[in-house]
Amino acid sequence: MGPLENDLERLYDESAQQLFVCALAITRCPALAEDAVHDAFRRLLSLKQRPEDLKVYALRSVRNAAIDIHRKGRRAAALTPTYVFDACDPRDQVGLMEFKNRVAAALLKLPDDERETIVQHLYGGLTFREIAEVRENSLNTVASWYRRGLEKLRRELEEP
Amino acid sequence: MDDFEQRLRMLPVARPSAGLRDRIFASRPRQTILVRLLSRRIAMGWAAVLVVTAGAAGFALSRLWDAASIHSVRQSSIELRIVEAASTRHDFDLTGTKADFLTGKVSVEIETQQEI
Repeated sequence: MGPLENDLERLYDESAQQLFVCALAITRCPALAEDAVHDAFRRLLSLKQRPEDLKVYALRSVRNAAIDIHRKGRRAAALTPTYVFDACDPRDQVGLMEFKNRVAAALLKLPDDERETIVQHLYGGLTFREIAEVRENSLNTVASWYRRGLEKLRRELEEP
Repeated sequence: MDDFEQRLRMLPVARPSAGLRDRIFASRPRQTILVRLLSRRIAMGWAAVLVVTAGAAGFALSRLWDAASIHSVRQSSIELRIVEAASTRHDFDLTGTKADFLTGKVSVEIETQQEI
């Protein structure tokens, strides 16, 4: 086993949730998000040279794989209405379940950049700087996507 | 982070299945030793040294081969002389009696090395 393979295993153990959520934000389906993470890691494992920032490189690879899958429309019928949220968490109470569905619906109404940024930051735990590096955009752009999207969500969800 | 963001953050998010890790790492096909050796990178300096060494070795081998070939040709010419020496009479020796002459037509072609 080479050093890159060891590093990738360690990265997966530490950041599997972040990688998965980044893919899920785009594919909108857990099975397709897993396919994206799988495809990206298979490519990463065949790299000849270790990228300088392995985490950012991996996140970018996963995102690209997710976009690829989403564009191909693979198994489009499997899209879940709960979006990135756990569809059947036993801890869910009725109120929480309803709120979750409303948030999912509101998120899906947002423009792609705003939705993806909110999911990556709130549910993937990525910093704005990491999102900016992964998406190859400026920190200000990412921060404004987040603020704009959050305001739209607030208006949508806090309306009676 | 305000209350609204906190409420959003508290929502349970889907997680990757436990089998995904195995799908990625456990089932990874191992490279054969040959593929691994071929995919190794070497410095350009070492590559140049290898090429020069291989060239020198090839040149030396060709010289050895040539030397061996010359030796075998010399041996065959020596054998030819022995055959001539064993001959009792030269075919073009016309000093004998008429009866010993060759019958038929004898054609001789002489090639000169320089103008006469």
